[in-house]
Amino acid sequence: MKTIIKTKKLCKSFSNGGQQIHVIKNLDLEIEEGSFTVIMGRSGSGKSTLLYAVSGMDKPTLGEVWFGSQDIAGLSNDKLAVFRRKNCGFVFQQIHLMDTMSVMDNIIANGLLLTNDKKAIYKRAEKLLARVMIGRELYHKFPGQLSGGEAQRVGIVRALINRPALLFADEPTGALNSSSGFAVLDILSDLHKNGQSVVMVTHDLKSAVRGNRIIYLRDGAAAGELELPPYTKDTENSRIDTLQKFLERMGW
Amino acid sequence: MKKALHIATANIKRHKSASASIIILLMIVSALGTTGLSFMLNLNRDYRSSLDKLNSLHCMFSIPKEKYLPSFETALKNDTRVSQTETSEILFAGPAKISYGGEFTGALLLLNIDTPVSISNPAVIEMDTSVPLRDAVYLPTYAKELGFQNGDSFSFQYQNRQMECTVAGFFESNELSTPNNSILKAAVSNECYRRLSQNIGRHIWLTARCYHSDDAPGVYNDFVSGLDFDFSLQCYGSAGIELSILSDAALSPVLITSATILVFAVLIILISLLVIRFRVTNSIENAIHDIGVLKAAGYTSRQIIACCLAEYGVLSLFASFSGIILTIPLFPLIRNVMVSITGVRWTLGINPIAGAVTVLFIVLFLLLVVVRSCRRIKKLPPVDALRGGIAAYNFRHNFFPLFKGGGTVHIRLGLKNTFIYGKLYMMIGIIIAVIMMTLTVTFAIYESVAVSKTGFITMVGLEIADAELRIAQDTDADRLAEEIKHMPEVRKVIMAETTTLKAEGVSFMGIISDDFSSMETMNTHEGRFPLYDNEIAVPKRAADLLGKEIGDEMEITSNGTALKFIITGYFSVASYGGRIAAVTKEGFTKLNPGYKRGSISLYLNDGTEPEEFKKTLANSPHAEKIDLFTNSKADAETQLGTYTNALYAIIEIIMLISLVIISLTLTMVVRQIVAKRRRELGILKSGGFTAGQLAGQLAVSFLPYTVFGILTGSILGLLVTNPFISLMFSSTGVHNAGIYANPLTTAIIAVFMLLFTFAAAHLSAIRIKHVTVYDLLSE
Repeated sequence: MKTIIKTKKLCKSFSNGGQQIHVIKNLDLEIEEGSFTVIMGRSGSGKSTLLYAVSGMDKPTLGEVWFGSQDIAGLSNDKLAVFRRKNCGFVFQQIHLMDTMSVMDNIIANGLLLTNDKKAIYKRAEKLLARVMIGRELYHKFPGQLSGGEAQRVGIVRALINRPALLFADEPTGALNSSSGFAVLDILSDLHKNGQSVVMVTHDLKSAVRGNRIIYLRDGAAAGELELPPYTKDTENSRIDTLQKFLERMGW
Repeated sequence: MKKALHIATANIKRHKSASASIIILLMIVSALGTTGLSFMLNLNRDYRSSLDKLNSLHCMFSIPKEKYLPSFETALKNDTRVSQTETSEILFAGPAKISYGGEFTGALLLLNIDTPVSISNPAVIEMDTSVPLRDAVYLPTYAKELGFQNGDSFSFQYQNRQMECTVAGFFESNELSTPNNSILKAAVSNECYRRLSQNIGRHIWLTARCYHSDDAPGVYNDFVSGLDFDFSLQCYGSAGIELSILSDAALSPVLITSATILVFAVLIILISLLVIRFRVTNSIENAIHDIGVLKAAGYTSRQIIACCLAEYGVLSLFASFSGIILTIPLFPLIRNVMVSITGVRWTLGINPIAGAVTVLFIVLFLLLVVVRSCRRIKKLPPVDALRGGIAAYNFRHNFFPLFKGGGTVHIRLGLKNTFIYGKLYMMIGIIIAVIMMTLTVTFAIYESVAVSKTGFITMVGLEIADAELRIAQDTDADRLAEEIKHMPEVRKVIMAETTTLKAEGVSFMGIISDDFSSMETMNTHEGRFPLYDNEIAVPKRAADLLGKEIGDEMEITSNGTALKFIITGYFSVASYGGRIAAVTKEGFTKLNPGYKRGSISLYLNDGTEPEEFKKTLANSPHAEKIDLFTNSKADAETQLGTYTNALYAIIEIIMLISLVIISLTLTMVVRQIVAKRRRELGILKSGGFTAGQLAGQLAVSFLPYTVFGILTGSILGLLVTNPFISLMFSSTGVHNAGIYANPLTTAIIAVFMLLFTFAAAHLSAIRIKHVTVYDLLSE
């Protein structure tokens, strides 16, 4: 399998009240194309920080982040924006839809960054919305008028509109009830099954078992890894057992 | 209360930058308010105290020595209102052409420095002993402002003789140190005095001080009514003046200056208050989550509002007191400017009442804004507050949908925000409109003072022709006027003579003309000028002083004859304390049957310079019929120099302050909006929008409101400039300033403003370039 993202001695520190806090420490990591990588760890272990650092949402303090043949660690903020629009899609825990824009505009705003063909983008948005079970009646609603699950599904469509090479998801079910959460996870599994590379941060077991590779972070370093076979509904319970044992070993 | 104060101070510390910008604006408002009010409240008191400091005269008379009688001083001494009188011998050169910051025609009083006097003694504060005593002249310190230095030549032309002296020092004086009253007081050494006395007549200088300075006009009027002297400035045979006229000359530039400061103070305060309101309202809206936390913890709405009031109460008190402290070092600077433009040794200081009123105004205003902004807190359930308040936008309209219509995604997103944030941006539009109006008014005053001086002369309200001819005795003035009128260089000839008369017993300057309709700068703002021999027009200020109005009769006394005249109209004038009366030639002849016209005022064709025409006239057969040719415009410019200098200095400072405040305000407002939309910008940035694209969208979204603000401000500026300036200058006697905004200048300012706001919006938004998406989303 081809490596899509590779980090070399990745470090990320924050200063807090004059004190440097090293959240990610010399992390070497490879993520393969077509994989569903799940990053787990305790609160404060650096999961989200790692996700934002490798996705070009934040700049690492030290080290390299290779996306294919390009090191994105040293890119300017504007170049990173162009990198993100071409290669990345993001699904956030807080969903982060633009409250002042309709469902369709939220999706199309990102789509029109890569093309001026409004019709084509609209059609693609329609297709993706149908895939995540969002009906036409919601197209012109505002995010405030949607349920949490509906909003997150719109968020996924927005993330996919530019056919990203990698889909990043930061606790995508964190703010949802269990049925909405399952629906979102099913969409992600379905996307992965169709070849979409996904990197997801979560501390939820039922979300984590959707992945085929689990990386456990402890104090900013990869403490362990677990490989799982591709996800199917009927293997869910056995996957949970395997994952639980792995996590126990990791000190979860 | 203690708890509220604790939370308030914690909030101030937390929002240092927001608090700092409010403090800066409030400090400016406080400093301007205190300065403007102190000026208004202290002006008269400080002027009187300056007079006492130098034991300055309240009345003075300069009478030819051969005509002076000791009984004159006795008459003054016997007046119970008079506390001190004094006589001394002086030299009196009048009319003389005096080179004093330009050339003006007036009277020169030369005192002997070696014969000290106790009233208005020219006490020398700077002396150059190297100047030969036979040439030594000492000038008022005001001369230094005109560029005079020790060793410089001081010259004047009297009776066709050029007199030369050398400046040997300067003395402090509160009166007759500027050309404003057409009389200049200087001092010479004993040797120089003797040299000049060979060609200049000796006068007795009779001076008096009153127990109460307000009695000066009464003492003066009573004294001159018992004498057979004409003290009108036109005669120059003798001269007399009293404190109200002197103070008018001294105070007018100060009043005009303070009125100008007030014009801008009002506008800048308006801008600042709008920005502060915008800032406070936004700060409270931004803090709505924290309010939710407090509410959830059990704080009542009343307690939360008390916290907000305490926060802004502390801020406003700190800022307004700091503003007052800021004015302390500023006042000596302003005093120096005042000394330099008036020649008076001012003792200006901060008025505590002005300070208190300013502090009270600022604190009350801010608390009012806070109370208004906090109204919604009362009705807001904690859960809504925790969610960041109730969305203010309208769910029914999806403005500029991105999937249809023309334009790029950036333009459409910009236009979308134009409507979404309409209420917020409208506030910016209003601020820009006021800024634009301020700039239009500023430039209108600047152009009328610096570019076209006649604009200012019009405002002062005097009729200034291009030249004035003083006619030789036994010459038929009307016939000569008719002949000169037909000369090719001459556009128009009018009659506009000045004299002294009394209206209801009060000393007035009279303007006599046979046709007031031909006047070019003197205009009535109510009623009309007199047409018949029993009519008179006066400034509104003078009518108010005498308790009269249009249609009332006014008793005019001249040459011992008193007649009733009907007031037909009010005209606007900012000189002589407004005590000016316009009477027809026939009307004045009724009072003075022997009156003969003594001068001709002429207007020259475009392109003809007065000095060129003077030469033409000197070579014409009319030359022998003319005693004196005066370049009136140049004279007026010299005499009004103190006014224009004052305004010029102030306008330059004000324009600088305006530009600083405009830059500060716009940048602050735009930054506030960027801060408010931070999360939104973060979402867009995460999707791949660059900082430049987002900045462009922001600038586009401002554009309609910027254009609205600029257009509204320009139209308002064009419409209100004259009424606004007239209103602000009304205390100086101006009813119609005649200062209008130039449409071309306004258009240039409008374009500049458009570019400036676009650039400010762009530059403020581009700051997010260096902020990562993570930072934008996580704050």
